[in-house]
Amino acid sequence: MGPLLTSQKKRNENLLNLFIQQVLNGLAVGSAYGMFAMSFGLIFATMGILNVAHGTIATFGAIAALTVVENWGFSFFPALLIAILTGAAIGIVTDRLAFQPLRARANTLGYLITSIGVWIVLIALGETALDHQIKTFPPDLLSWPRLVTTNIYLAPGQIWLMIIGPISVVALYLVLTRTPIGTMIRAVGFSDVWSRISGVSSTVVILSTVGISAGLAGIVGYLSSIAFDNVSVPLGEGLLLKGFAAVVVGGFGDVRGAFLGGIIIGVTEVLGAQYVSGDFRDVITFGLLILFLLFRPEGIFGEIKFGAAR
Amino acid sequence: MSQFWDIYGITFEFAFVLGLFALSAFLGLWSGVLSLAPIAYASGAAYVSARLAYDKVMMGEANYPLVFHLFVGMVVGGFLAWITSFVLLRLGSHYLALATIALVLIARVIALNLDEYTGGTVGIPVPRQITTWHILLILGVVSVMFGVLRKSRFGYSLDAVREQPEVASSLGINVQRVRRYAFTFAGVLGGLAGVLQAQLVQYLVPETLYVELAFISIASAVLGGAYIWVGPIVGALLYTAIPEFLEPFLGSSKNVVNGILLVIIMVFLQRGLIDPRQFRAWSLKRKSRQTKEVAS
Amino acid sequence: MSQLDVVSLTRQFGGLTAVKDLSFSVSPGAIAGLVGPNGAGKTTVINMVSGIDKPTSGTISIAGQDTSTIKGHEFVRLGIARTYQNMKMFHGLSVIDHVIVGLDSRRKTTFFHALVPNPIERKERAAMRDKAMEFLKVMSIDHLAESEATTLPYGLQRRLEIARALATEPKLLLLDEPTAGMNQQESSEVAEVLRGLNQKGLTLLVVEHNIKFVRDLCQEVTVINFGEKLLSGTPQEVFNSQLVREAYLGKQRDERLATFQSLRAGTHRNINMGEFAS
Ligand SMILES: Nc1ncnc2c1ncn2[C@@H]1O[C@H](COP(=O)(O)OP(=O)(O)OP(=O)(O)O)[C@@H](O)[C@H]1O
Ligand SMILES: [Mg+2]
Repeated sequence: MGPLLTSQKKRNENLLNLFIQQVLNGLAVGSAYGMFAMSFGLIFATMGILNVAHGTIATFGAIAALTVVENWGFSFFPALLIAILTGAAIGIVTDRLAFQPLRARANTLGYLITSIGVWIVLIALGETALDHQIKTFPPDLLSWPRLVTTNIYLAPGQIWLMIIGPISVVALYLVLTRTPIGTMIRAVGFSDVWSRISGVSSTVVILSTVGISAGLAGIVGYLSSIAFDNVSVPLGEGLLLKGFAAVVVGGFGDVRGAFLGGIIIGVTEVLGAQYVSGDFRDVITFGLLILFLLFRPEGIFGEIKFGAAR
Repeated sequence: MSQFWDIYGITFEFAFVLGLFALSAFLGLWSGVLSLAPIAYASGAAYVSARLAYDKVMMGEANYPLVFHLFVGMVVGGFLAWITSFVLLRLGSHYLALATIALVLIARVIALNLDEYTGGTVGIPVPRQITTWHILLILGVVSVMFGVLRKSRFGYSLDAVREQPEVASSLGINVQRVRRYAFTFAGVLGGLAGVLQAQLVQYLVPETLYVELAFISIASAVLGGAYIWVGPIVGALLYTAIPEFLEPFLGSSKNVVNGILLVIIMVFLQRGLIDPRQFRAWSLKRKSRQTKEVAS
Repeated sequence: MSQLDVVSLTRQFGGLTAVKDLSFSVSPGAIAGLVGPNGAGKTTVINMVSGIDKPTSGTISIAGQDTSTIKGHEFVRLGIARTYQNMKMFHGLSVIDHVIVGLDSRRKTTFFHALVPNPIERKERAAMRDKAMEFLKVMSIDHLAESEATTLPYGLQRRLEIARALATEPKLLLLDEPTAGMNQQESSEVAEVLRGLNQKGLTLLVVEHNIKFVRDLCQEVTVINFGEKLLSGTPQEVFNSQLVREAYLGKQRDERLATFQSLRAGTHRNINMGEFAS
């Protein structure tokens, strides 16, 4: 009787450990999706641009960081800065070249089509830069913090995602709600005529929004390429799709919602793959996406401000 | 000439099929809806047709005739579109666009997971039955249809629904119904084009009919001009031809040009290359010149 | 029985009550006016009567029929047609095409006629052109049939809008500021045309700021302010009333505020799909 009981207990313990491990994996993935969702959602909510090129901007963050790490031996944090700057720069350049000329007349659909153009360009450039390969960061780039017990293992990349994810939500939320520039960003989202009336230069506001959003995309691209050990164009596309699902689930109106949406998608996906079927992993995500689009298009947290008045 | 055809024949075939995809995207835009869904329906249709052919061949029998496959493609595409339209068209404009992107993604996941039927990641071979002439003939027939459609009651309804849905409704046009018809018809076209595309590639995997193709078909429609059916076809030809001719200079980044072109069009030529408005302006000018000449 | 009966009509947008407990009616064959300062809720009333908006509460009956369960596109069958304050033209369509769209409810062909060339379709197409031409003649813009509608001057576009509405053969025509942006000459011409239509049996409900226009044209006038009815009566009674004068005088003070608010309300951000590239 005795040994049987212990093995039963052992099994339960293993199951519990597996569950904890998978929840943690889900949280790490979810942080990546959530951060991406915030940055993607911010542009959509404030400017009406559904930017399909946003995932590729994240990829470029990773590519730039990889370049400086490989060629000049940058360490983790300086490379992070490079990822942010690259993301922001690409965001701003594409905004000036492709979206700004449309601003007076385009609506969501016009922006969407334009962003398809930008996306095609960035993908081609990204593939060329990576020589159509999947690359990885050198393993010694980041060796801490690492969480290792007998049954649970978290890589440094995952842990950094879980640290920087929540930090970025709080930071972005505070910037948007507590600072003058944040107020202006939200006001432009509400109506760019408003900003004209109030005399704030809309260019400054637009550039800050794009810079923040694309910089954040750069961070996500960099961190997740470390966590998933994968620097490639499809990495960014994956972020785009999942981040997009996260935005729909969490709602466009609020960065907190978008982040939580990412967490929900990430955890559901990982647990679904573990306990339901690995193959149907994406079915769960996109099933969730369709359900939300149909029954709660405004997301869990309600009201989208953009486009509500007409 | 025949040498030219040897080199570029296959390119043209892809371009013509892309023309059909672009027309299906155009139908959506014409009803004021940005929908990438036809690609999802194309995928479904292509798999059904490919599977039917595969089973026949596996049993050592002759494949069904081409006409049968085309018919199957249209029926499957149209049916899927019709069923899904009831839920999708309830959504507002940009959510609808998003949902249709999601649909394309889901179609791939389904294809991957129904590997018993679809071959999963390995895919399924597709016996080629079509010739260039078949494709041209199909494109010709579809173009004639669009020509008739344009000045028919339905064409006018589409114009009205696209420009001012509220006004259309208060003039007695059932906006939802018009959109549903357009959506279903786009599905039929998508299914047809899907079968053709699969036969051109001769091998069907879940990524054969996927987001890239969806985006490019929208892009072709917008580039050529999404205000008359000629536009999408011209757009598809350019979209295929330009990178092909630039390949020697740009190598693998030839697609960059497509993207830049699309942005330029959106910035400078918002109504695309072919714009019926322009025709009207020309013909009015000519008429007034003629009347002046007659008067003098 | 009235042509139009509005009873306790209310429409709220979030916290804002744009129309409040409004009742009035229009008798068959009349030319009725609906006036009030900016933001009084006139357009909102027209939207509800024409079926593109639904009331929060209250009823609208057209020729005795209750409309609460009727869908937007079915209002045409009740004989309702309308024009728009901000002239909603179909971009890219010619003048005659606008009227052909207006004829939709009278066409017999279906979607399937549109797929292959066929004589039924061709015949109907020709008939519709002829019919459309007649309506252009009524509004004397037939010489412009092939021009692009949005390139026409303001006044002519307003006429085209009326032609497009007439094409549905309405019994009650709702006009939202039909002379806005017109000069004296043009607006009296429009008044003349409207009077002619009325003599042929068309009932009219006109929203206007142009007091002279209303005085000359209308037999009964309803005045609203802040969504509520101030009073109704003949033009003389109404425009001599102290109440109405105050409402209008008070307007000037608030006018700037109102403009500012409409800008803030984001009405400029056009998410109409059709215009993504126009
Ligand atoms: N769709 C809407 N959402 C929110 N508020 C609205 C909407 N439509 C109208 N309103 C508000 O309702 C009020 C009445 O507007 P309405 O357009 O009916 O006034 P109006 O009498 O037609 O004014 P005008 O003479 O300027 O045309 C205004 O305060 C307006 O801002
Ligand atoms: Mg009004």
